[in-house]
Amino acid sequence: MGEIMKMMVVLTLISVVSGVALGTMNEVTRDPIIQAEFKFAKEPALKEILPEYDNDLVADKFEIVSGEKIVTVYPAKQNGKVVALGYESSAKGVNGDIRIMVGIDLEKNVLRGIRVVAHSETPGLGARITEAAFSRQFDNIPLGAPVKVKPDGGQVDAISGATISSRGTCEAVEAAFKFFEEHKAELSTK
Amino acid sequence: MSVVKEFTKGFWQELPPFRLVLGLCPTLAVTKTAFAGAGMGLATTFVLVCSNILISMLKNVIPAKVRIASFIVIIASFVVVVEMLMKAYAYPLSQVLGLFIPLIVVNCIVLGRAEAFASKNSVIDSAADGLGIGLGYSMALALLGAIRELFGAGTILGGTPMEMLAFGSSFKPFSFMVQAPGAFMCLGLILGFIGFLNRRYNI
Repeated sequence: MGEIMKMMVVLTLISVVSGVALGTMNEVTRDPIIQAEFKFAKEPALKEILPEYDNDLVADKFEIVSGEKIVTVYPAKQNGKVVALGYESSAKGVNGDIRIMVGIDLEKNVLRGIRVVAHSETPGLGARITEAAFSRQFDNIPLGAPVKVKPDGGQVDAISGATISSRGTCEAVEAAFKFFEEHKAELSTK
Repeated sequence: MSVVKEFTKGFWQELPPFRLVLGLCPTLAVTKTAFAGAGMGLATTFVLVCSNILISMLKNVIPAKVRIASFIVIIASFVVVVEMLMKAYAYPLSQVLGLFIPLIVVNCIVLGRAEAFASKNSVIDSAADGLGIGLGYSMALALLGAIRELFGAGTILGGTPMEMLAFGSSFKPFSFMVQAPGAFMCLGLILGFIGFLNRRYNI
């Protein structure tokens, strides 16, 4: 009996200490991780798909609750006026979610462009959705217009051998349009 | 004297991937560049040193029957710490290594050193053992990465600010070398070469 008690006590203590240590560590690294993600993954994408802006995107960002998701929106301002919005959207790919950053031009009412920020598609096939030749096709699509690959009767050239990944990217763009439509009122007041 | 011996054995006699042929999953998977290989090796070194020290300190407290479970909890905790630190302070490297950082938990070198060494030896010896094995592992991974990168991408130190082209811009990369079979072949040739040295010169 004594031995069993000792095993239970030791294992429980080790687990508790480990849990507390990891919880503390998580608190300490949470902000640096968010900053690093922004600096290395989101900021380069936002710079390319938003027009010239003169504000601090991180300071001005706000969050909108959409269904179960919380979407972070980065507003690009010129002289204090919001001219464009950048936010993330996602859809299912072959192996997991395809996450894209979209830039919405509020003056021309068009999609300025997209950048794939995270995906787990097959290297050499679906992973080619990150190439400019593919993602450039989404530049200047009017907001709310249907976005489909050519085999589905749309305008986007799918990558050969990667129709599902191409379709997933289109679905992510349509989801971004839907989000904009649903939250138009909220977005314009911020 | 013995501390020095425990430290240096990791560089040749017990060099994990080449002499013991251990820890091959990351050895084959993340050595596309020298930078990624060295990063993976150093992350593993951190986990090895920390877990060796802690396990050696607790060796008289942990009952034999639950030792493996205790070791895994300790090792897994340090791996999560490495993962969070890397995301926060070395984000590009964490993107390159991806899933292979959490997989350090099941790297047989780490549990192997805990079970075979740290649970039987003093804290100082265990720290030296972990550091030696870890640095040896890092160098082995960096070497394999450097060879694969040189032929597979034609670069030296790719992914770092010192990146340069080894054969000029007209070089057509031998992309077989940066794919999975290239890793096997490269590792096989290195093992063969070490076997040759071993037989010929008995070192």
